[in-house]
Amino acid sequence: MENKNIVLEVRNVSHNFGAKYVLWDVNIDVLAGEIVGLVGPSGCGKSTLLRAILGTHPAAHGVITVHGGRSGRELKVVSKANRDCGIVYQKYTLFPFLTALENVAAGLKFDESNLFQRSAGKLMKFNFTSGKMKWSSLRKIHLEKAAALLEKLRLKDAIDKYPRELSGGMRQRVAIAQSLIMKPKILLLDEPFGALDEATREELQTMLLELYEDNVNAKRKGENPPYTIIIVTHELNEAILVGDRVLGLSQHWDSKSAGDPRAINASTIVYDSISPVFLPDQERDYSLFAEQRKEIRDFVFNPDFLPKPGEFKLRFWKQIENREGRGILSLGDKKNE
Amino acid sequence: MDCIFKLWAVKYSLVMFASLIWIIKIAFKDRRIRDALSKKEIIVLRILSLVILTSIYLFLSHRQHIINPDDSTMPAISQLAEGIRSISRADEFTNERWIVVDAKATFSRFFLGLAFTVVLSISWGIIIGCFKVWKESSVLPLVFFSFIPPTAAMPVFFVIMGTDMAMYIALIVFGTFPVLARAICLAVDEIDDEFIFKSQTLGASRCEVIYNVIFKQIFPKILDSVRLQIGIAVILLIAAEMMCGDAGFGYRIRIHYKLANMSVLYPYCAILAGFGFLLDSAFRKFNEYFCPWYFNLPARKRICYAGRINNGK
Repeated sequence: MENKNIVLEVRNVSHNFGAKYVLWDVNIDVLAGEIVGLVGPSGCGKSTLLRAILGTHPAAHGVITVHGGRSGRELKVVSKANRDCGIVYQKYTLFPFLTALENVAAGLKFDESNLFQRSAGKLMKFNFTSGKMKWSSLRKIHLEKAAALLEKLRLKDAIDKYPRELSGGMRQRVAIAQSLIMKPKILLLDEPFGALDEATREELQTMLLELYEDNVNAKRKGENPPYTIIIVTHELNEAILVGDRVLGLSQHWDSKSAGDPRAINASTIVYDSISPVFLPDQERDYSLFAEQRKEIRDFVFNPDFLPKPGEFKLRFWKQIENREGRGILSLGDKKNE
Repeated sequence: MDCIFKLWAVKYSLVMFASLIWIIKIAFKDRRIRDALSKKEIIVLRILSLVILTSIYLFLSHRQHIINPDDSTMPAISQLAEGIRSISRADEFTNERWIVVDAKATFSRFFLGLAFTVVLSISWGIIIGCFKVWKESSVLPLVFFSFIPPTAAMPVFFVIMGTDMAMYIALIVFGTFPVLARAICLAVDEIDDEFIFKSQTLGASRCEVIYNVIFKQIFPKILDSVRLQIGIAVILLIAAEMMCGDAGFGYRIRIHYKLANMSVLYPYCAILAGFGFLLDSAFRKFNEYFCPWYFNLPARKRICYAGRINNGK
C-alpha cells in the first residue's frame, strides 16, 4: 500500500480510560481528496478517535501520522493539536468577539504573523512581519482572502456580523470556512450538522459536495485535491450521501476471538467500503443509498451480529484496486502512472 | 406647637395613604409581566422618584426645624447652601479650598489603588486560570486572605506601612485583589476547551491563545468584576481616611461628624455618590464601546470587503 496520495495514516491505535479499552487496533489510511464518513453506534468511541487524530488527546497506543504537513518534517506524528488538522465542532466554536470576516481571517493572522509583530506593528508602524510587509497591509490581504472564501460559501451578508447575529447554519458555514482557509491536510467534522434543521442540513451537505467537486476538478487537472475531510456523524444517510467512503467503527464484534482480554468491548473498524457519491448537479440514485444503508445497519449497528476479525467488510482497498471507486477515486493517480 | 404638629401628621398621612393607593393602582393595573415602557414614561418615572426623595427629605427637615429652628442634623436648603459655600471657600489659614484638597487626596489614592489592583489581579487571575500549577499553589492563601475583613486588618497596615500613599494602595489591593483574581480565574475556567483546541489548529502559539483567545473573550467580564469592586475600594479608602487621614473625604467627614455638622457631610456624601455613579456608567459605556458583542450590539466597524473585491474583478 505504498501510495503517495495517503494523507492520514492511523496505525494500530488503541486507547484506554483506566482499565477499560475503548478503541482496539484501529487502522485507517485516507487518500487525498476523499470525504470519509465515519459512523458507529453511540458510545463506540468515534469522538475519542477523532480527538486522537486531531492530537488534543493523543491515543495511548499506536501511531497517527499526517503526511506532507506544513509543520516541519515531511512525516508528522500527531502528538498535539496543530495546524495540519482542521476541526469543526458541533457547537460552532466561533470566537464571539470577532465578526465572521475576522473569524475566518484569524487563522491566517495566527499563521503568518506573531503577537510581537502585530503589537509592534500597531504601535510603531514598523516592518516586523515576515516577507518584508507591514502588518496593516498583510492584514488587508488576509481580510480580502477571507472575504473571497466567505463569498464562495455564499456568506456575503454575514461578513460584518458577530456569530451571535447569525443563524445556526450560517455559523456552521463560517466555522467550516475558518478551518478551510488554513488549507489543512485533513479537516475533521465532529457531528457538524447535529444541531441544525433538515433544510439547513441539506444545504450544508450540498456545500460539502461542492467542495468535493473542486477536488474532482483539481484531480482531473493533475493537481493535488485541496480538501480531505473526515465527517463523524450518527446519521447513516449523511455519511453515505456526502462521502465517497464509509468507515464503520463498532463495539459489536466478536472481541473474545481477538485473543487479548484488553480487546473485550473495545471498538474497532468493522466496515470500510466506498459509497456512492453524486456531485451537486448529478442525478442521485437513491436505490444505491438504501442498499448500503441496510448493509451498514446490519453490520455495524446490530448488537446481535458479532462478526469475527476475519469477517469484517474491509473491502475499500480491494475496490480501489478493481477501480470500482466513484468520484475522485475513479480518476486514478496520474502522478504514479 | 404639639397640636400643629399632630394636625400636620394626620393631614400628611392621609395624603400619603391616598397617593399610595393611587400609585399602586397605576403601577399594577393592566400591566403585563415584563411589560416594556415607552421612553417618555421612563423619564417621567425617574424624575418622579427623585422628586419624591427630595420632598420626603424636605418634609422631614421642615418637621425638625419646627421643633428646633437651629437644628443641624437635618439641614434645610439654606443651611445646605451655607455648608457647600464653606467647603468650596478658601480656608482662612491655609488659603486652600477644602473640596479641592480632599478630592485630590482621595481620588489620587483611589485611582492609584485601583490601577494597582486591576493590573495585579488581571495578570494573576489569567495565570492561575491558564496554569493550574500556579492556581493550586496559591489558592489556599488567596482564599484565606479573601476572608479576612480588610477593615479588621487595617491596624496591621498602619503599623507596617505608615499612613501615607503606600498604605492606602496596599489596603485597596488587599481588599479587592483576592476576589478579583478569583473572579477572573473563574471566567477563564468558563471558556470551553474547544476554543483552545480550535485556535491551536489555526496555528496559534501559547501566548496568542492567552491574549487573542482567552483575554479578548473575558475582557468584558473583567470590566464587570472591576465595576463591582469599585464600591468596596471606596468603602475601604474612606474608612482608612477616617481612622488616620490628614486630608480626604473620610478625614473631613470625621471632623464634621463630631460637630454634628451635617450641612458639610451631606454634600460630601452626594459627591461620593455622584463619583461612584459616573465611574460606574463610564465603565459600562467603555465596555459597550469596546465589546459590542457582549451586549448583543452589532459590530461598530462595518467593512465592505466583499464590495471591494467585486470592484477589483
